[in-house]
Amino acid sequence: MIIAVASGKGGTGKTTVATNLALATAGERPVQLLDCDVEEPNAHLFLRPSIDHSVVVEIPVPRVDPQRCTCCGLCADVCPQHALSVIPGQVLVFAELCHGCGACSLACPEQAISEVGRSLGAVEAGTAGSISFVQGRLNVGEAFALPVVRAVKKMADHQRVVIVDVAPGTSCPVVQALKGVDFCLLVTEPTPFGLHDLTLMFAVVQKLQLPAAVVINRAGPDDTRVQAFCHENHLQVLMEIPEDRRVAEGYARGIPLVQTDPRWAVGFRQLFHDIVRLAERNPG
Amino acid sequence: MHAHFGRAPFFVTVNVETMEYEAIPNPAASSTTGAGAQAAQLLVRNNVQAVAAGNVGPHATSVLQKAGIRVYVAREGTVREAVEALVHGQLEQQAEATMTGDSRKRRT
Amino acid sequence: MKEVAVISGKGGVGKTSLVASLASLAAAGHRLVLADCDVDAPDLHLLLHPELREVHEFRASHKAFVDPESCLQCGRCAAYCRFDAIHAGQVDPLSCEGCGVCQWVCPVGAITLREELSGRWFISSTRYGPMVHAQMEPGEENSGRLVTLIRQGARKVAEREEAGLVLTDGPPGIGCPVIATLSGVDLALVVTEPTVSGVHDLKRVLDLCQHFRVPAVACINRYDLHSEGTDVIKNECHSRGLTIIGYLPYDPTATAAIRQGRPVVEFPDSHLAVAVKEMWGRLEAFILALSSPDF
Repeated sequence: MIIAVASGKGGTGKTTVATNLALATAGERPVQLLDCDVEEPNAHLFLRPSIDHSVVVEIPVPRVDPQRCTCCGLCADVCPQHALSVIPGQVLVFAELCHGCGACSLACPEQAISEVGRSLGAVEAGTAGSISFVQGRLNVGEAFALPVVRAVKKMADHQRVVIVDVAPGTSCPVVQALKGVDFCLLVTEPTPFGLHDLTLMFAVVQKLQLPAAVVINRAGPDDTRVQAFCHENHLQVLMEIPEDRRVAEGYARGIPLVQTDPRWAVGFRQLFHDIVRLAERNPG
Repeated sequence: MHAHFGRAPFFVTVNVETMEYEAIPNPAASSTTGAGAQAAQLLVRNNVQAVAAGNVGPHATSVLQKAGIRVYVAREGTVREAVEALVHGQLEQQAEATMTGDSRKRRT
Repeated sequence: MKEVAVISGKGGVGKTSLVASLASLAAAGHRLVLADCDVDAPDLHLLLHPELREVHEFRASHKAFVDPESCLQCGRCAAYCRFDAIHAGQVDPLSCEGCGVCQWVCPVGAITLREELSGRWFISSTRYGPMVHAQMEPGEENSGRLVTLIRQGARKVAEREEAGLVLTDGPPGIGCPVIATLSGVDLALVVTEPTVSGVHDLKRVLDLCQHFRVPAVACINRYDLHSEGTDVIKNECHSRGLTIIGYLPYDPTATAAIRQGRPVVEFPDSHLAVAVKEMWGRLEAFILALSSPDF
């Protein structure tokens, strides 16, 4: 079973929920955590895994053989990213713009274009206690996150309960991380920001036809609009984490909730059982 | 003068001997990626010898330099002012180019 | 005109709330244009309540379409697609990059590329000045180019209105939209918090600023939540020669203000509002030191 933990905006407590869910469930079932938030992978800060291997994620980028190239310009014309420039006597390759689609090498009438790997980031794997841990890490200054997310997703161990920490937002890498999961847990907070971003995220989940439920973080007594939205859209609120300075301080120090108070361990185990129940009732 | 070379809506090529000029639309202005390099290729194809523009990005600079086109910084004023400043040697060259000689130039 | 981008490596550190307050303070003394480049979670409008003036469609992505009549089911498209986006004549639009390789290899010309609506961008008015913002279609990619559009729109409005300052709410992270937000700005204000994730992400976003040679200043939100974390941030900034222009306290007024849809500086007695005002004074001095005659 693959459970994605997602949120429309950053900082709602997505990683808190993903890591605590992993820690609580690991007492009962074999668990794997995939950190697909490759721009800012933070789950390791709470799980403190030991990383035992790391694989570079590469995409194929063009290399032009100047002996064969006639500077006809076809490669530059077909490149959707405009990563090739042809000037008299020379083809310039801007590899950092390339998405690795291979159109240029296909199009080249002289077979002058071969492909070489270019590193975008890395996938790192290890263990945190009994939890199998995998994270993607995008190189700094790199714009193309998708291949790194894909590489992390490929590491899913279907013998385990897989918990995917998804990047915030509703963009392409998020959709990629959500593809093929069995259930999506949406983390939000009871503010106009939280409600707005939950609305956007819910649209994505509906588009992907994923069963979903909500966790409200920093819950307080005085804002009920998120609950009302969930009620209207038949989204169950499975857990509320109260607005509490002690919770915030624990988070600041990187101490998982389940280690601050045994009641949270019970709560997150219950959360897992609720997810299983909902996923079985509404298969995606 | 447009602030960003690659995203300029059009270029003006000027023959600095006759002051004849022509406007060339820049189809790269709305590109998702690689606008600067595409715009630079356009100017290479138009046999431009020097460019005066606001900010020229790294890709465009690379294409222009490799094609032997000198790049001058002209962030303000009209095309005419930029061309005159260039002819009178008052524009700062953005990066070292390898060719000398002068007859045409352009800007945005 | 000067462009100041407010960014944070990590989401949820209070960036948007801070931008709303800075807008309120800046508008008291300057002509201002706001740009919300946090296209994936565009929340600034929830605090500034803009009135829409212009709506523009944004079409950036292409998707492959297969004509089932002419498709031979030969499988060449699937064999050549690097994005696992086409199978047996069926395109998965969520994976399709629109690169056109399938169109290229199709022996019978059954595949075409079509431009898709990716989102909309808006020019609006707020009580602090014009605002340029956007909304993507769910699951749409390519917000980097939209960020560029928003910034161009904001600059154009700023020129028209003779505004001296464009204040940008940037996206979190270090990817394409952040790079598009940072390229060529005059100053980045990096917002961070003393949490383990905040410190971790601060380093990555500061690396990015250095990589693109963008001058930056920092502020620490909820600095009193974890004093050791705040010390780590101080050291990190110090070692990079970065000035910390604000220490903002943990204050429940922050959440209360968001719930009411107002900038926190409209609660002038709160500790947070006082700290934000002090910080604006320092930020204003930094912007003035950028030596722009029109600010």
